[in-house]
Amino acid sequence: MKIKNLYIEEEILNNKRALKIEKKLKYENKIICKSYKEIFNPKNQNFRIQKNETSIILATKKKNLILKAPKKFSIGLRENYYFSHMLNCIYDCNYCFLQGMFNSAHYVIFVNYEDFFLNIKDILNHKSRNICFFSGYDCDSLALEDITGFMDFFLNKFIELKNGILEIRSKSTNIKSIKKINPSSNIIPAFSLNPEYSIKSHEHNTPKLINRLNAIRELQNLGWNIGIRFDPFIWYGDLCDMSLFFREIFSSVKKNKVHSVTIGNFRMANNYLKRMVKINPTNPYILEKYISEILPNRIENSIKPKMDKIKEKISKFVDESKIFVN
Amino acid sequence: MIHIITATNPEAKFFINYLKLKKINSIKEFQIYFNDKFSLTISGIGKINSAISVCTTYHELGKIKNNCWINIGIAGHASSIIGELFIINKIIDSASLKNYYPYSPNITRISQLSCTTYDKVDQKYSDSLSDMELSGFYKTANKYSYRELIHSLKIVSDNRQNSFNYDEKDKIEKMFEAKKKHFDIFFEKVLKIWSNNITDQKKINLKIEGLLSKIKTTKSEYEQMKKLLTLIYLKKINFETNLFKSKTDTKKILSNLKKIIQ
Repeated sequence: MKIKNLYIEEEILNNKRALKIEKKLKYENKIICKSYKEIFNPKNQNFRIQKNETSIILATKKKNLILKAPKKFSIGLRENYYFSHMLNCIYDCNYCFLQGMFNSAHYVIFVNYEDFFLNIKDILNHKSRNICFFSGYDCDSLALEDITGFMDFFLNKFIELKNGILEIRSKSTNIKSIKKINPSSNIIPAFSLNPEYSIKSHEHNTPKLINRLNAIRELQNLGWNIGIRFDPFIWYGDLCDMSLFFREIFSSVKKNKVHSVTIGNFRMANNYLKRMVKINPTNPYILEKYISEILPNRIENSIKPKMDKIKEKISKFVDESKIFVN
Repeated sequence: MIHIITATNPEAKFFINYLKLKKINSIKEFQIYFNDKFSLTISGIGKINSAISVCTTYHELGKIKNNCWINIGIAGHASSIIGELFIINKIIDSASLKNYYPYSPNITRISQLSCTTYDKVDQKYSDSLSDMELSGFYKTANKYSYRELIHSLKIVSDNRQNSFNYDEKDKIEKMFEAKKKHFDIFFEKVLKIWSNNITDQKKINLKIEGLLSKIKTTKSEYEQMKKLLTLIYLKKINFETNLFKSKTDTKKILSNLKKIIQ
């Protein structure tokens, strides 16, 4: 993988995993820093300019490795956490909140994978009920797997945890790490889907819908239960055609091997949206969303169908108990 | 626009001649030169001077945010050969021990290195270049521009074998002249990043400000109209600019703009 610069925290200069990752990268300069925060956190950086030529920062995550998920973020379990072994994503989705949340577009890879696992184990040790952990909140879980090897390390360990459920959310079709292990009921590979025209216009550099569906089918054939995520669901077409779209999706996958379906609209904290407009003022999609937030009479090009209507349409293919509105 | 900041006259001389810059005589605090694409300010030695010179340049040249800023100058290094040019990719402030990481464009023919800014002349030399301005320049320029638009280029003037002779001013100019092609490539790249990411927005803003200057609005109306007009221009929707007449009711304008994009 070709990147602009490789930044590395001085304390992990000799870390085996960091060295392994470094070998897989082609970079112009290697720059040593005290903490990833020196590069990642300063204000008045331009996320959009950086996105054109990104760098990788190798670091360790010291605090807040596992965080409580927002209340509505659930696939049926009462207690939910999320974690990210990486910050930022190789894809470039118009609606992505990371552009508003982070000051920098560089990819931070936290190499202390063991600590993520130990923290999860620690949470589970104190609980008796099942707890769900979401991976891929601040990054895509699988997109950079060939470089990070995080899932390769993590899945074999997580499979042993009895009351832990892991969701691996991704748009990537890089499913090698999942295929290496036997299907497990406590690991849910989950794929974000949208109509192909929305993928083309809003999910830049991501795999096509057909390729994501192929990846789902491949895993289902191996025995995996798959999560299907329409979140955010971006629909521009006629509402009547929506049923056809879902028919196409659910006829392409094994319905009895669908673990769950989640649906959600575009949603973004106002301060993130404001920031996205500031750094990317020439993106009509973001500006339109912003205007629709700040003006009393909302304007929207995309149809914002009610979630219950979408749920109703999906329930024709998947049991309603498996559908969650986020 | 690119704002160049140099510490001394000899460091500035090549650029003043090469870029055909004219002096602004009305400014007394610093010597500031300019043309339509570049400005050059001679800050004097030290990071405080450098910081003030950035501040003065910004205020004297129209207070325009998100222009490019480049600190160019000479620096010492333990072993690099005299006359070698570097792009700075890490700045270390020796007093505060704070580090800054410029988002420098990669140019194959120019190597990159860190630079340490000292409060006093550094005679120890290390593997990091040493200067007396850069951290002050960078921190201040970042108030007015994105980090991705702030850069530094340094030419090695002295090393452990060859100490710096302040009397050889012509030599400094010649060192810069020898790297003319590299400066051209660097300026071109920096301007490209700037124009690809900043100028479109500036052009639209100019058009909008032109329209809105014709009418009286509240601050909130102004902001709303600005956003709506930006979207209209981005979507390339044709509309009647006659709408913006001094006596037109602003509520009517707002409602019309909303209709246009619906």
